[in-house]
Order: sequence, then structure tokens, then C-alpha cells
Amino acid sequence: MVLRGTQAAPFHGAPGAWQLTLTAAGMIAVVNSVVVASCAGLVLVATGVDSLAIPVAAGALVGAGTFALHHRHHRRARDTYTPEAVDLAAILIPPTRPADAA
Amino acid sequence: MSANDHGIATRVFQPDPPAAALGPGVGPAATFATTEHFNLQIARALTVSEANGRASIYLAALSSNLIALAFIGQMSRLGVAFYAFALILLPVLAFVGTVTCLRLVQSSVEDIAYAHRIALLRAYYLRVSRSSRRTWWSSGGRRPRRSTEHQAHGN
Repeated sequence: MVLRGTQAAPFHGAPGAWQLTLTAAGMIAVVNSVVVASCAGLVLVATGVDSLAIPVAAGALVGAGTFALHHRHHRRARDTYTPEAVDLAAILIPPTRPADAA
Repeated sequence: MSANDHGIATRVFQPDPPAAALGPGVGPAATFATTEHFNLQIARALTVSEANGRASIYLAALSSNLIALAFIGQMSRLGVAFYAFALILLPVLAFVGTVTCLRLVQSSVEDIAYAHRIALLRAYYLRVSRSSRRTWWSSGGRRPRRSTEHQAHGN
């Protein structure tokens, strides 16, 4: 599913922002944010930063940003959901043959 | 109730009056709808199982990666080898996690779509057999209104 265009209003009955964190995608988003944060911290340590506070703070910032990005994508996918778009993405409708159209 | 040539009791099926009023095409249409319902349920179960599988694969990769990092850190005493190993493996793991998360989001949206279509089919069943309204709960294929949702949550 490709997300383009303006953000639509969330449909009624859709899971809330916090509920999205409780899904499998939310769980992977949290774990992946920690991985990215630790990667960023390790990069800083490898470049020669001696203080422990700087890599920890930078890692926390990067992790929070990564989680915000994941969460934003999840919210946008939920808000732009329409049954027709899912049908177009998931169901192949063959073109009409000339014999059928006649 | 009557018996056939083999002595087996048979009964002629009489549809509900509203269903009979819908016309002779209701029987095949109900069969198509039931088949579609079954396929949608299978597709919905597949999205859940795919999400579980992908999440499990990612967590297994993460777990083995952390164990490998611990071994390397112990052997190299957190030296250059540890950083090289970590800075190669962690970005790869982050990429795998990002791709897994994107696919899981797609799966959850597909799951919502399938649930919506199943609700539409249930609305069709209720139209065909109005007597089932007493025993089934259904949203009628419509999304619940916000006010109803707030009442349900006690707000």
C-alpha cells in the first residue's frame, strides 16, 4: 500500500494512537527503535566520544525519533485506509476482453 | 417430514418468507456469499499468522545478534573487533526491523479490510434471513458512530 496525498480523517472505530503500540507492528517498532538508538550510540562511542552521557542522550533522541517515525507511518496507514484502496492493492481485476464487451 | 426410498427421513427446506420474497437467485447468491466469507476468514487468519511469523523471525535474528555481540565483546574485550562487528550487524538488523514493521502495518490494514468485508457479508445474511436478527449481533456493515463508541467506553 502506497501512502500518498493528504491525510484523511480516521474512520470511526479505528484503533487509537496508544492502541497501535499494542499491535505486533507497534512491538516491532519499539524494538527496532531501541536497535537504531543503540547503533547511534555505538557510532558515537566508536568515533571517540569518551563521556557516557553523550552517547546515551544521543541514542535516546535517535530512538525517540525513530519510534515517532514508525508510529507516524502506522497512523497514516490506518487513517488512509479505505476498502476500495485495499481492493485495488490486493485483488487483480482482469481487463475486459473485447469478446466479453460485445 | 417424509422418508425416501432408503427409509431415511428427509425434510423439504422452506426458506424464510422474506428470503423467498427476494427471488430465486438468493440461493446461489447465499452460497457465493458463504464461500466468500470462508475465504475472507482464511485470508484474515493468514494475515495474523504472517504477522506472527515475521515478528518471530525478527526477534530471533535480534536475539542471536545480541548473543553474537556478547561473544565478540568478551573475546575482543570491547575492542575494535567489537565495534566493527556491531556497526556491521546493527544497521542490517535495523533495516530488517524497518521492513518487518512496514509489512506488519500492511498486514494490519489488510486485516481491517477483511473484517470490514466480513461485516458486509453478515449484513447480507441478515437481509436474507431476518429471523436471525434476534440471535446475531451485527454492525450491518456500517462503521460504529463515535457517540456509540464513547458510550461503550464509558466516556
